Amino acid sequence: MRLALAALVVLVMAFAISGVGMGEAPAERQAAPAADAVAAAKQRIDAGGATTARGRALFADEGCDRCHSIAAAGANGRLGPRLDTIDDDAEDVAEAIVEPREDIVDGFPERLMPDDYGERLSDAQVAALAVFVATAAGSEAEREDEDESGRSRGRGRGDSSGRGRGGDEG
Amino acid sequence: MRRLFAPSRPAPPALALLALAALCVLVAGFQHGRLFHRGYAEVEIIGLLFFMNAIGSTVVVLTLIFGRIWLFVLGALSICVPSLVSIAISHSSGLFGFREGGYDGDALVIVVAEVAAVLFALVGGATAAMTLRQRAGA
Repeated sequence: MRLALAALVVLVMAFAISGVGMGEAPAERQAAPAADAVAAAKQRIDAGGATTARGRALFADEGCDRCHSIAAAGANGRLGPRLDTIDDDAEDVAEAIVEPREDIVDGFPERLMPDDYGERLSDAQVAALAVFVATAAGSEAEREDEDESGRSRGRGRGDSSGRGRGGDEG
Repeated sequence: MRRLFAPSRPAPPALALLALAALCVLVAGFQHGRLFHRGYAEVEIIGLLFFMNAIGSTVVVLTLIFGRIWLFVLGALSICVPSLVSIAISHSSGLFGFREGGYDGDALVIVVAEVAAVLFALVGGATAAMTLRQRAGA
């Protein structure tokens, strides 16, 4: 009897410990950016100004990388949506940082992200974080710049700017 | 110390309370293991703690099945109390650089199961101690 009960407990817990049948992290349903898009994002981040650098530092210091993925910055978080495939500009990203529960991506927990960044961080810090994320995602100006430089390099070549990422909004 | 590892046969009410505690420990451990594979594995230190919680919970429940009730009570408290404290800290100042904003369904299941496990283990342990002392005195 005891052995049977012990075997049942071990069997049930084996599923949880091994992950068999436990489903996947919601972020795994989001496609990762292609290698050339990651390389382009790295270039954008490296070429970014002081604000981007400050935003990158804040991204790590504030623990954003624990939950969110930005491949170009080595962030592998899977609890929250990927941030390197979003299509938002820095202003939208700043809004999402301050009001994270306004627009939850389908399948992600509603209350996981702290909603006090608007109080804990200064406006300048929120803006720096948003610029870094938007730069990594290649939204707005950066993407336009890439388009321009891509056109000048020659028409008819494959697009390596990482466009068409089509990720969910963060 | 020897008593900790010695098998005991407590009275049915105490055993029932400890069995409920074991069920709660198992639920919380299962949830930790499940969440580990649903994104927490990538969270430094916290992910490892989730994984260890799942393994530790399994071992602790096995100690009760094999009659080591004091080891079970000690193990259940050693897992659930630090886990509850960690959850509270991660929802306030942050734990190992990780902060959570609120309690969603998964977190609530863990909190309820661990609070219940602590209560059942304490009451069950106290009941077992009393009945075993009465038996020894008779």
